[in-house]
Amino acid sequence: MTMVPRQTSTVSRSQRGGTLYDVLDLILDKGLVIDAYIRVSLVGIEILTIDIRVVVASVDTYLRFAEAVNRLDLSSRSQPRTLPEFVGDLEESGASRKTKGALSGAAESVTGAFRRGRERLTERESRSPPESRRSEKGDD
Amino acid sequence: MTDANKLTYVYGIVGPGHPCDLTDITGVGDPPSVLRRLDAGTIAAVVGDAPAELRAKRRDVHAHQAVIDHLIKQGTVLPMRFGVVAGDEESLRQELVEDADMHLAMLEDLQGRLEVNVKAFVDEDELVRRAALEDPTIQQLRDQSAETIEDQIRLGEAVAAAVDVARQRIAEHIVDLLAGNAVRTAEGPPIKGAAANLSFLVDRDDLSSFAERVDEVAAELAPEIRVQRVGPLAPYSFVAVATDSELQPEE
Repeated sequence: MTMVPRQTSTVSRSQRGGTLYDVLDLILDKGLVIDAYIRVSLVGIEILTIDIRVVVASVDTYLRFAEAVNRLDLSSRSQPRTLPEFVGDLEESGASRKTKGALSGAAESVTGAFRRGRERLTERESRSPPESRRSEKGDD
Repeated sequence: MTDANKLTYVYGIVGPGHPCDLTDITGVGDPPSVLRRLDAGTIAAVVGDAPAELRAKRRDVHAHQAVIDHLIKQGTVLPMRFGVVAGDEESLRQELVEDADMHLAMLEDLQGRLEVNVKAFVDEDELVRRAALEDPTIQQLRDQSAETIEDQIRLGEAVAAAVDVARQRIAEHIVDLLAGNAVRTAEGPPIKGAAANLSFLVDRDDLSSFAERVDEVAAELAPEIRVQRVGPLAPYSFVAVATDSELQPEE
C-alpha cells in the first residue's frame, strides 16, 4: 500500500461536512441502525467499504510486508529518523516484549546482522527498483 | 417489501424541538426523492421513498450526507447509516414510537454536540522501515534468510504486528492530546493509509477551539504524520447502539 497524501499542507481544512471521500467510512460504517430496519444493497456498500478499509491480517499482507522488509535498503539506518519519537520504541512494547537491558544487547548484535543482510540486499536491489520510488506515487 | 418502490428510506431522527425545514433539499435516487417528516409521537424521522435500486454510489451517498448535513444546521439529529430502509412507513412509525424514549435520551445527550473526525496518515513504508530497523524479532527473522513461504509469512506477521503497534501509538498519542477538549472519543473503522481514525464529540461552543487544538497537534506531528480534520459532522460515531463486538477491541 502506497497511499501517500497529496496535500502538502499540514492540515487539511475541510469545508463543513468534508468531502464525501473523507467521511465515507462514517456514513457507511457508523450511524444509527435499528434491527427492525432492512439494510438494502449490501453488496454495493460492502464493495465500497472494503475499498477504503485496510485488510488488517491476511497472508497477502504478510507477504507484502516481508517483501518490503527484504527489499529495504538499510543504509538509511544512518539517516535521521523521520517519525516522531513516540512512534518508536517498538522493541520495548511491540512484537517482542523483553527487558530493556536485554534489548540493548540485542540491538547491538543485530547491527552486525543488518550489515550482513545488507550485503545480501545489495545483490537483490540491482534487480529491483528502489522501493522509495514506488511510494512517491500513491494509489490513485 | 415485495414492491421495492414502497420502501421507505430513513435519513435521521429528530426531536420535538427540531424545525425540520426540508425545503431546497432532496434525497437519494434518480430523480432525487422528495423528503418528508414522519411524526412518531414525540420524535420524528426524516424519510423519503427508497429508490428501487439503492447502491452505495457516489450520488446517493452524497445525497444521504447532504440531507443529514442540512438537518444538523437546524438542530440535533440522530444520523442513520447509509442504506437504512424500512419495509413500510407504518411499521417504521410503530418502531419509532416504541423506541422513542431511547431516541429522546440519545437526542438529549447529543444536544448541541457535533462530531469532528480526525484521521492521521503515515507513509506505511516508513513504518515498515522503522519496524525493520528497531524490532529484534524482525531482524532475526530477516537474517535467517527465510526461504520458505512459511518463513516469509512469519516475517510478514512480525512486521504487521510492529506496524500495528506503531499505528496504535499514533492513535493513542492523538487521543491523549485531544480527548481533553472533547466530550467523548470513538475509534473509526481502519482506513487505508491511515494510522488513526478517530472521532470526537465536541460541544458546539467548543468547536473552534477544538479545531485550533487539532491544528496545533497537526503542526506538531507534521510532516511525517499528516493530520486531517473533518467536521463538524452529525454524530455518526456516537449514535450506535453498541454491540459486544464493538465494545471489545479485537485482540
